[in-house]
Amino acid sequence: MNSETELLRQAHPKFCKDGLVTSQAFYPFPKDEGLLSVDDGDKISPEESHKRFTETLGYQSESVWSVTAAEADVEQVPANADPLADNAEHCLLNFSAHNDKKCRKIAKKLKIFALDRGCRHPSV
Amino acid sequence: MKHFVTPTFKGTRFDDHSIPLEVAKDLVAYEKLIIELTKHLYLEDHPSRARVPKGFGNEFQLHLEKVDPGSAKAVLSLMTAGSLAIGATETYFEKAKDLVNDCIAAQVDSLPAAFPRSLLKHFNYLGKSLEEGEELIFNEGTAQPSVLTPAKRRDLVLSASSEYIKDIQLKGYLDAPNYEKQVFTLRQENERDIECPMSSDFENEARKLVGYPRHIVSIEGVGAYDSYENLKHIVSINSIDYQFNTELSQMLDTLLELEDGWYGDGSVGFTEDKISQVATKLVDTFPAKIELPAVVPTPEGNILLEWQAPSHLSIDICLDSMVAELHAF
Repeated sequence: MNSETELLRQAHPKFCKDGLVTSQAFYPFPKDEGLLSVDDGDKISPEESHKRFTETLGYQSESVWSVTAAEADVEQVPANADPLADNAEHCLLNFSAHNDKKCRKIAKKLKIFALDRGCRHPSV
Repeated sequence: MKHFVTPTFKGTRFDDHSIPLEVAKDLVAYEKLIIELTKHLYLEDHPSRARVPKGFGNEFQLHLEKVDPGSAKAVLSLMTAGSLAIGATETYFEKAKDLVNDCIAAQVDSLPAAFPRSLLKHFNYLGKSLEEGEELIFNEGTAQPSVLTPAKRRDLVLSASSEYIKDIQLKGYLDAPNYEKQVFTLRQENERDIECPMSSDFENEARKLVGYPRHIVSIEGVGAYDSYENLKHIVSINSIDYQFNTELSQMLDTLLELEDGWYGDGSVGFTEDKISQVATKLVDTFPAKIELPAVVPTPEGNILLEWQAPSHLSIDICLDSMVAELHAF
């Protein structure tokens, strides 16, 4: 992973409106202790990442969006590799240093980066 | 009581051998048609008379005696007792009954000559309650049953008129009200605008709704259609319903689909109580000039409102405390 690596984030259908992702897709779930799952875009394509997430793992995702490792660093949610048995490309963005209010602000910043870059899958 | 006719309703709505009250209106329309046709037949037989004798037809009253199985047979009987005893006109009622049967059974281009075209308009109401796939049969089991279907009803009316009527359900937003003429325009998505009558007691509501596409008005009533199935005008309105900020309301309603676990272990679903609290505060009073936000559920069972505007304004609403937190850059 380098600073230009795209970190792929799956967006639940309820986290999108009119085809656009909302910040909720980049907001960590409290039970995950401030860690947000993403995939290393240098190692897996958005399409493959989506297919594994929905078909192999059985989760819901409307679309795939991305931020770069550099953007995550700027927002103080550094990315770290966290390979799993069923997902070798798994990484985590670490929000744990921030409170809820700050997490929302960061999630919105990440959403803006993702919207500016455009949806990675499906391609429009 | 004397048995007069047993119309049979066929269709899934009648499978339990009962007749919805809405459909019973068709039987009232049948009675009216029989009376009008009887008067016509009497005058045909008495060309010297300009009108029927006073009270003619008053003694004709059909009663729904019972509903028999198969699917639902409405046994209609003629009142013959006491003051309602039917007299010498009975043969005319019987003739009228046979003529209605013949009319329904005939091809539209070869209707019985004895059936006046002016009375075909009664099929606007007789059979109006029938839905696609349903039938109303007047002489079931005979060699030539008289089967009224929605299509046959339509064709009968259009054989003598350029329009026929049927029930309507329309949705759109209210615009261009004319309070003096008591009308407004319903602007429909993907359909042409249509002028609607407006009762005076709806005026106050109309003033709140006018010109806002996000406030959807739902209308149920009766409309007049041409042979191309174009709605030409509204005949009457039975009910008008409306929802301020319909899309916002619908977005909140969709959250009710989410049960505990919707976003994995530990995620919290939404209940009617919680959503209605937010809807009450938000939907009716949402400022018309502000773009509607995305309504996003959070796994904790709360709601995020978020706008894709330059400031990326968002509001986190905690449903337990009903506290909202606003974030903007």
